[in-house]
Amino acid sequence: MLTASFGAQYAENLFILKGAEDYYSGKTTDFGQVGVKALDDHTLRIELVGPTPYLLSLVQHTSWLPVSPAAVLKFGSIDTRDSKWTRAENYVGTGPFKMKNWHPNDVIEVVRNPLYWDAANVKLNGINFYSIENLNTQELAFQAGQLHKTDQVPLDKVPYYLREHPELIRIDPYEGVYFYRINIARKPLDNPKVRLALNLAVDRDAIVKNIRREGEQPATGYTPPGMGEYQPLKKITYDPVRARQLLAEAGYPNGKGFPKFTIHFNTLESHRAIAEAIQQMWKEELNIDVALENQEWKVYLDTQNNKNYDISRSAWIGDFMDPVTFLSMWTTGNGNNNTNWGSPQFDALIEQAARTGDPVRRFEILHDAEAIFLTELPVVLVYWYTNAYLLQPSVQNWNPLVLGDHNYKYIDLKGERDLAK
Amino acid sequence: MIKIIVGRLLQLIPVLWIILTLTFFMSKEVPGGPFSAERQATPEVIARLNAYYGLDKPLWEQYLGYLGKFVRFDLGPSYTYQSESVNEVIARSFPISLQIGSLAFCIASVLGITAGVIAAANKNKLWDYFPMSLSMLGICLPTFVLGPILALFFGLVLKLAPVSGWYGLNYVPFHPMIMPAVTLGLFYSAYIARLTRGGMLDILNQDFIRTARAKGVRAHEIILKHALRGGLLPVVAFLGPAFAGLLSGSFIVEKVFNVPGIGQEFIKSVFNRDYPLVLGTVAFFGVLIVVFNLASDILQALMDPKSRK
Repeated sequence: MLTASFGAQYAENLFILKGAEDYYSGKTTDFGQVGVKALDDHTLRIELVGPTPYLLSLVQHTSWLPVSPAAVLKFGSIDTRDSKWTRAENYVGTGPFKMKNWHPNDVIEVVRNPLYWDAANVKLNGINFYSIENLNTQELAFQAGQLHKTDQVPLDKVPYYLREHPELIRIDPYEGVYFYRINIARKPLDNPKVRLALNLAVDRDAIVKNIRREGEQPATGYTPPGMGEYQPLKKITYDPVRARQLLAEAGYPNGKGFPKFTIHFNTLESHRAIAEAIQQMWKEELNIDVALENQEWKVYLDTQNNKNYDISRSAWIGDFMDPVTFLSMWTTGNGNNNTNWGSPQFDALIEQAARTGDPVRRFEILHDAEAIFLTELPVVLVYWYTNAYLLQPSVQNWNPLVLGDHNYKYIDLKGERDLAK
Repeated sequence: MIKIIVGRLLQLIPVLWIILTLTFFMSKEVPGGPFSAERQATPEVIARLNAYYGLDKPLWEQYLGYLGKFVRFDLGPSYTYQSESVNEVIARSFPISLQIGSLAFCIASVLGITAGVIAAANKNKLWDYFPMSLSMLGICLPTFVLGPILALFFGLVLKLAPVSGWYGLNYVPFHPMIMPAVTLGLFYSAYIARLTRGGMLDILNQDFIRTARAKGVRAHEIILKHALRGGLLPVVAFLGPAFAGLLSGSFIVEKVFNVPGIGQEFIKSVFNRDYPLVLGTVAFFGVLIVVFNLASDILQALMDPKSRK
């Protein structure tokens, strides 16, 4: 994970280890400096940078899963990129199931792992994970009995299932937030009053009820609900009167003289629908003109990373059960910040939280940090995610999990064991 | 004849070179890189990844390096599939498109030619209007509409074939290729039917057919023995590139039925900026198209004495 040439997306999840960040960024090449060591066959000692109350949730993330060095070393050194150890026939894992086949773009087949420590309690004989990108095809395969569960439901089919087949559809809370980044280096978006006005003029209820329709909640803060004791902030609402007032205070009464700017999003029908709704709301409430521009995914990422935009569609999905998975990205110059926004006060609070062991005090500090963020608002908040999917009633023990990290050993099938063979 | 074939095959070399050169420089011009992601890696890490794949070298050096490997049939590593080379990606995805394409080709040819011949033989009668209206419908219905309709009917209602996927649960050989092949086959048969009808009508109006009729040769004999060979010439000219197109996989049909064929790999490689996979698949398609154009030219020459030199 910390080998830079792997370019692991989640390397940051290991930076709570002493020396991990230095090793990753190349400041040291001695892995002995990283605070992790296997003392014997059953003991792993880790040294942390600071108190990390969310450690137990974090280590459940895939970026923390162990790999077998022997399996890796068969095909090169431990840090060889593009080596063959990840192929189905070579892969060695530790879970309740082991890899049988991997047909890219089609299916991953896993079967019961007899060597798993708790093998006696594993219910299923095997699972097939199909990689079906097209949501309509997913739904069709589900209806044809080829799937027990889909990943998502086509947006326009959600009302149908809720009405006609409530026993097949599930809508679970999901740890994610949909928002727009604001490039605060561009005038007049550099004015916090303008940014707040833009936020207050968005009718999130209408977006959630008329466009999304998957039971999402309008975002009143950045960190979504479901983070244990951390209560989501209720700072942002729909208040067009105050929005107009703020815009006038910023020097644009009734939108007069407000320069035209662009909302930029990656090409997807639902992103366009939301952008059009917000465009219309800003026109109606604030009398300002906004253009829409869609870009292909990689071009969009480039535009966002180079901060070459006015307003850019964004989303963030949490990795573990702690608000810091949402808040730490907004520190000054963070690679995921991309808004030109930065606040020394905010940075100091995040830093202070990392050194605070008392969970209650720590959440207070993080609340303060988020409050600063929501006052300065380098974002336009839209909604907090849910996860809607289709599930056959025969599937047992599929419980809602905000991180979606299901342990398949508990999953069972009622009355159709023969199908799972 | 052999001289012509060898000459045409030699043309492959400059054709491939031009295709590769254009694709190479165009793909590098497109904004966005293979390693940009929603969770961005630090610039230092991106730099190391670029260095690993030689993307930090000057463009001409990368270009020459690629051509050097290409002539040794080494298409390089795929950036997306980290444990596979481009050769391996093509080797696993092409056979799937090949199976679907071949079956679709048979369906399209048999259905299209039969419908075209029947229509031509019954010019301006019911049996002309009926198949030709159907073929017009086929041309107008894009595969992303036809595919789901067929999947609904044959997959959900009649339960004759799986609606998605290839391997996996209850895999039966040849079973998963039915729906995609029928979708593609129907689509192409619509074109073939119209071409066949046109070609046949041309021939049926000629003097030698009138002579045959005057001599009392029976109607079906005129069509099968005398007219078909000439009437199919425009169809054969179309079939070469069409077959190459079918074999190179249809992105839309592969997507609708979730088939892991080479058409998907090609389109995804462009989205992922997987440069070696883009170049590899483009070169592969180039070879297919040249070879099948040649095959259809040879077939035409065999069928039509006029075009033989």
